[in-house]
Amino acid sequence: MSRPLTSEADLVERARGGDGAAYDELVRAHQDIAFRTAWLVSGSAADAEDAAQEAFVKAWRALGRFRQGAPFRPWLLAIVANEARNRRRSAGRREALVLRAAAERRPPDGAASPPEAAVLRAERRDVLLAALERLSDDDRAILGCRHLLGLGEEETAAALGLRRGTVKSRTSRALDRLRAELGEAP
Amino acid sequence: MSDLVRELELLSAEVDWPATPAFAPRATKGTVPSVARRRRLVVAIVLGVLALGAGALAATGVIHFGGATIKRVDTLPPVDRAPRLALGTPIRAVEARRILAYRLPPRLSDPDAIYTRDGSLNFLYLEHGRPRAVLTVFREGSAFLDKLVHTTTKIRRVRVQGAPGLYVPDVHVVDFLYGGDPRLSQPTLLWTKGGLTYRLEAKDALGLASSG
Repeated sequence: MSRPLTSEADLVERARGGDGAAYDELVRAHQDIAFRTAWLVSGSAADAEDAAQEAFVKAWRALGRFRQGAPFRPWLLAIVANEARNRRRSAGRREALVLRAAAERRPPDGAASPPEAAVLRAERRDVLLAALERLSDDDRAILGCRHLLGLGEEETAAALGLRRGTVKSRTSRALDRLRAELGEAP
Repeated sequence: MSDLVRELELLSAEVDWPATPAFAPRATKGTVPSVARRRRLVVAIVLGVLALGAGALAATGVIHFGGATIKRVDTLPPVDRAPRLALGTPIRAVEARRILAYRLPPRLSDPDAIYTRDGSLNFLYLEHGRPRAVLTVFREGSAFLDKLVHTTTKIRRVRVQGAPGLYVPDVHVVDFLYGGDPRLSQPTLLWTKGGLTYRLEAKDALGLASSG
């Protein structure tokens, strides 16, 4: 008989009861999104690693305060982003978004050469990424959370310390500014 | 969904995100899986802290004290310099006593207002209509707040009403784990008594908490 999948709520409850293995599993499930959120907020991989590590320890210590039945990821991301904001460097260069190397984006061996349309899309992505980089830190962070990381409005609000309504309006304005950077009509 | 949003979502797969480090083993290493073990650890840490002299406290990187974690940083992070005090829901003293069995120092026995938040109590003291001091009381042993203090701040070991305490004499950053954004804090006195941790934030915290 197959073992039933363990739901996140089950893992959270087990972790709240002191089950370290359950907490490890929660961390593994969310470490990518946590680290990338921290990176978007702090602008540094080293700071993001410190922030996420510290946040995981804090969250573990504070699980007793976690509201039963609440979604775990927004709660965790709020702690992660808080740690990342504490480490955000006021001076120093923020690490830029870059595309993966072209070799990594080539189709696998044996696949057809990318059609011209795909090449054009790649060129468009370079332009889009450059335009994102020209935005302010706040605009880039909100578009990064919402559309690169795919966080929901509530999670973005938790991660960036904003109200949900503010996330909606700021996302809209950031998209307008991105269109302007691209030379497109709003 | 607009074309631009769709393009951004496609772009995500092309971004060279920094490789995610392996966190899980380190995240749980050294932490404590049960309330009982956590309490024993806190007691051990507090005893360890008390065994250090004042000079040693000043040199220690991280100090744990009754649910507060104090970290030293070269530069305090940028925070709102005029934040709103997130004190919680106003309650009466009789309700506060049902939440925690606290004992206030004589000079702090008559707060202007009492609030509760997340199982903790906040006592507000006013002077000319403005906050003069805030005393927060919470259960010892649960992670409750972080403090970021400058490396030059000399944290002092003190006694408050006969109980062990720490005094942070300079402005620093306080981060209540579930109470809004980090904010600047005035000098702060921490002490533990009767299973509770007391955190008094005031320019004259030592004087207010004294027995006289």
